[in-house]
Amino acid sequence: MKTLLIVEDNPQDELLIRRALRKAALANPVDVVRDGQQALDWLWREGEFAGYPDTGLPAVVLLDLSLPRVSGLDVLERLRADARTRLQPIVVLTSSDEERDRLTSYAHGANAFVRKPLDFAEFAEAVARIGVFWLMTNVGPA
Amino acid sequence: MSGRLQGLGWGERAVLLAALLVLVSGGLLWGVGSASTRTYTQYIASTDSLGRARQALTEARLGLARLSAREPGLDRNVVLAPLVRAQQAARAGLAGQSGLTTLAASQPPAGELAAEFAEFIRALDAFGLAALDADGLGAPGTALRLHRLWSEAERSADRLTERLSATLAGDVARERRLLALVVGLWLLFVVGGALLLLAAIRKDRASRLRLLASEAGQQALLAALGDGVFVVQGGCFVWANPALLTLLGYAQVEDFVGRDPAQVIAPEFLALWHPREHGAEEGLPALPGRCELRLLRRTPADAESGGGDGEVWVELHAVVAPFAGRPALIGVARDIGARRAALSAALARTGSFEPLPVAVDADAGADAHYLRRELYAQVQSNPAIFDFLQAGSLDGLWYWDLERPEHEWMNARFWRVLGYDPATKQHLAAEWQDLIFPEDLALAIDNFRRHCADARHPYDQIVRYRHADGSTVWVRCRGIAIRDAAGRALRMLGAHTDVTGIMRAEEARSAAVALAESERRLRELADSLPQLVWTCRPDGWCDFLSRRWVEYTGQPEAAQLGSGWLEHVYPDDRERLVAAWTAAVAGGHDFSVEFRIRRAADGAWRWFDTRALPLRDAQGRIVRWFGTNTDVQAARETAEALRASEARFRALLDQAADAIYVHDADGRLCDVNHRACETLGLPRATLLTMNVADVDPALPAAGLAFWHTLTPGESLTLRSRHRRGDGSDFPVELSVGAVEIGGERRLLALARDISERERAEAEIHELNASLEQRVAERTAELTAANRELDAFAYAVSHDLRAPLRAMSGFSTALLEDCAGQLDADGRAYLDQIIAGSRRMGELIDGLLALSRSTRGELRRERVDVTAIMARVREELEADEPQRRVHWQVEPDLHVWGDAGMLDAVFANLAGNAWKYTARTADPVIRVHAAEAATGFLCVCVSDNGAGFDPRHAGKLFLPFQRLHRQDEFPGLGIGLATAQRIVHRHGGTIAASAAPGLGARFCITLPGPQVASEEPES
Repeated sequence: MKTLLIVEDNPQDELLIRRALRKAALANPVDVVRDGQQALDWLWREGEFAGYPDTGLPAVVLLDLSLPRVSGLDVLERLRADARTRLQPIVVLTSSDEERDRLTSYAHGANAFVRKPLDFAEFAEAVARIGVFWLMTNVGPA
Repeated sequence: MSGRLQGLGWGERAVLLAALLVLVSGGLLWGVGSASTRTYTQYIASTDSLGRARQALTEARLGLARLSAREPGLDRNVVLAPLVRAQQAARAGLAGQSGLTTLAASQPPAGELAAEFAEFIRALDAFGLAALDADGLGAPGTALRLHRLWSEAERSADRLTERLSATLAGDVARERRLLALVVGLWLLFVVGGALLLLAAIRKDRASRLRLLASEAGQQALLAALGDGVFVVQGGCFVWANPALLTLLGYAQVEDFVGRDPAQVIAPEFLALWHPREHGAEEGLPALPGRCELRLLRRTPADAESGGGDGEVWVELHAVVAPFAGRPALIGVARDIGARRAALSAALARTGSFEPLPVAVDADAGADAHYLRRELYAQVQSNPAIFDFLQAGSLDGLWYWDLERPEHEWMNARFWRVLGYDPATKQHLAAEWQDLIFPEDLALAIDNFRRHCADARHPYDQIVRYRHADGSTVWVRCRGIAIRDAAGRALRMLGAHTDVTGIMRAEEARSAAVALAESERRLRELADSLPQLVWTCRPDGWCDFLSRRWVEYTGQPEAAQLGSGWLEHVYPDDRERLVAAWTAAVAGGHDFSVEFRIRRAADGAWRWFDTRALPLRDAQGRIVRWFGTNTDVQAARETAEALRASEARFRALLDQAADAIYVHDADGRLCDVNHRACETLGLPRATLLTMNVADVDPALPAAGLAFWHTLTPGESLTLRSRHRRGDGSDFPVELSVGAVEIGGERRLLALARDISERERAEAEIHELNASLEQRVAERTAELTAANRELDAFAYAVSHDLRAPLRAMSGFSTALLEDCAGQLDADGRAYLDQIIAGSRRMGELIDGLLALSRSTRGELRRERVDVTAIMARVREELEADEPQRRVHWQVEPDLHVWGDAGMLDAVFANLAGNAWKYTARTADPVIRVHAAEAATGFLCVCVSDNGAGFDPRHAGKLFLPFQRLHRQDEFPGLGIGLATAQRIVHRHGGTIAASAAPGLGARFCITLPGPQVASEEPES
């Protein structure tokens, strides 16, 4: 079963995403990293994740932009620059309403840009749709 | 004899005595003379003999030399023959000497000379014998001996010669003394006889006259005369003496007597012979006392046939005296043929010259008056008459040798008339040619040439000579050429007539006429001139005033003549004028004074430039003063105005705060003002010698290019640096213009010292630079602040929302997941948490929007307001489908600006209208265009909703300021603030008008496409 990687430094948001995925009855394994560097290491099995079991690339990466250490946009750029993760489906999930962030994300190869709705119901709905689409509907490169 | 003597008069006795004395002394003289002659003859013969002997001796010696030289073909005869001749001559001399006699006792004995001769002969003999004896004449010994002998003969000859000369000299001296004595005695006798004779004549004149009167004595005397004598009585010759008969070729007196004068006197002289018409002695010829004429020479045969063998020139003296008891004309004719022949010969040497013929008219008309004839004859025969004529009737006579033109005879009067002493003058043509006026000489020479070429052209002209005292002598000079047979002019005879007086008189008369004429012209001229004209006598007395003067002064001329005119002169000018005039009159120099004269017409004193010149005659004497007065009032006023203008200009120039320079094309400074001198620290005089390049060293580099390009009235401004006298320089701002000064093109430059200004400018520049620096710093600070604000807003949008999301998310999860464990209050509380966090999220979004409205790029594009309204209306109606609002949106409403931002503005206004009409019965929302300034577009959104109190209109656009309670109309109070910021960013305005309960209207005015593109973002 394809994994879903969440790159989110806010544990509360992580909980809310997990709950929304669960409410959508998606049983795929979910892994969470707290910053950009961990995200890169996880995907490339480097650093602290060097010895981590090779579960293959995730079906989709939910990437927040405001991340400690390496920012979301940098992560995006570096993943696209690396052959291993050049085709990795990535959805930017952020609370930013800035046009600049949106355009830059796409420019760096984001597959989708989703703003975290303030309202929790809308938020849960959005995460459920993302999960269903990328885990169930979409056919990945691998 | 004595008786006979006693019968004689004193005179006869004296004559006889004198004759006796003469005879005695003559005989004595003859005796001496003949004796002396004999002595001389002998001396001469001796000397001659000696000479011949010596010559022969010399020949012999030569022959000896030739023999010695062994010349071929010679024998001893070459020596002996001359030697024999020498001996013969010597013996002849000795023979003559032996007969020599002497008159004087002191005479050396004649034997001495004979002895000398004998000695000489002996020497010759010795020489001859030696020569005969010698075998070989060429032998040295013989030659030597012969030579010695010859030398002895020569010495002997020398001695003989000396002796002979001495003897002769002595004899001559002695004889001269003797001869002088005899001649003296003879002269004494002659003079004594003559004195005796004279005394006798004086003592007894009557007796002498008696003797002469006696026919016999008379005839005897006349007959004895060497000159020819004839007697005329009754119109024919009655007697002639033998000399005359001989002269005229008559053999006997009978052949001559009774002849007509026409047969004796040459025809051209017959006029002299005509009988007197009114004479005391009828029938006597009118011959003058003395004359020269030609007589016809005839033989008796010739006389009959009318032929002749020639003529003879005679000098004739004629007297009227009684002859044979009746009055007769007795003529004495002296043959002067030889003399005239000599003269002719002399003249012939210089040309074939014939003396001027006596002009006698053939016809006996008016000119045949006897006095005329007489005078001509007198002139011809009597030099005294001619002398009188040339000295008395003429002012000079000249006679010019044309063949030797430097020679010219001039009489004394010629020179006296010209003021010279004749003694100082030579008879050379050059003497007068230096005195005649050159132009007159040319005339005279021209006439002379014409006259020489053609006798009909008269040589007659009036010429001027310079008198010794420098004055001019007018002379009428007439002349006649004397020509030879071929018509060639050889001599020129001329006469001077002094016509100076006539010419002077003529000149004076002409001058008087001219004066009168000039006087008339002067008056005409004076009246025609625009000036006031006057004349004065040499003493300064005014004698004429022109018509214009009279008109100007308004007083008749008569009243002003003299010094009456002075009344019209300005009183203050009079003294100066009179002094100047008096000085001019006294000094005779030009007069020029300016003074004022009163004009009668209006009583005005006008300035006149008065000038006067003295008019002088040929001698330089002032004859009149001629003066003019020219009205210079206008000129003076103009000059005064000009001076004033000049002074003003100068004052202006010197008062100017800027330095002013005027220079010409070459940059030479023509004028500078006081300020220029001050700023440069140089005196004006020095500056005026300088070039503009000395003041403005940079100017020559520019080449004064604007000299040619600047037109008068145009000016240009430039900056340069000027150099002071001390070498320091300072910045100036120049204003250069072209001007015309006195017709000359000049450049006028105003130089303003801009040191202060430049300093101020430098300060401002520095200040600006620091300000910009500060602005840059500030901008950098602001940029940094903006960046921080951005980062802050970004952080807010992310980080403030996350907790809110957690609060509302977990509250919702609690309600959903644990609803059964909560009571109604608990659920209500959770609802409040969710509502609070939602409102918090909305506030954050509003703040972000407000923040974004002042950030980011502003695009300019056409914004369709009508379309925005349609979309907004749909969204609002979708949110609150139950509401019924009447929308009135004009079609094609549009503005220019950033589409996203303006969308937010209009959505906000439409949302407000929607919100505040919520409680209105029939809500109407209108969106329409309104009037706007040119280039601007205005769109208004009005409603009939709650409106607002205009007193609080100022708070409308402040963030978080609300005019309604939250429970009435919910809102954040941040929409209009955002709208205003966006509109302002576009360079537009937003205005609100309303009344409580009557709705509100918001109008947005934005720049149109033109203005919007030009208006920078502010």
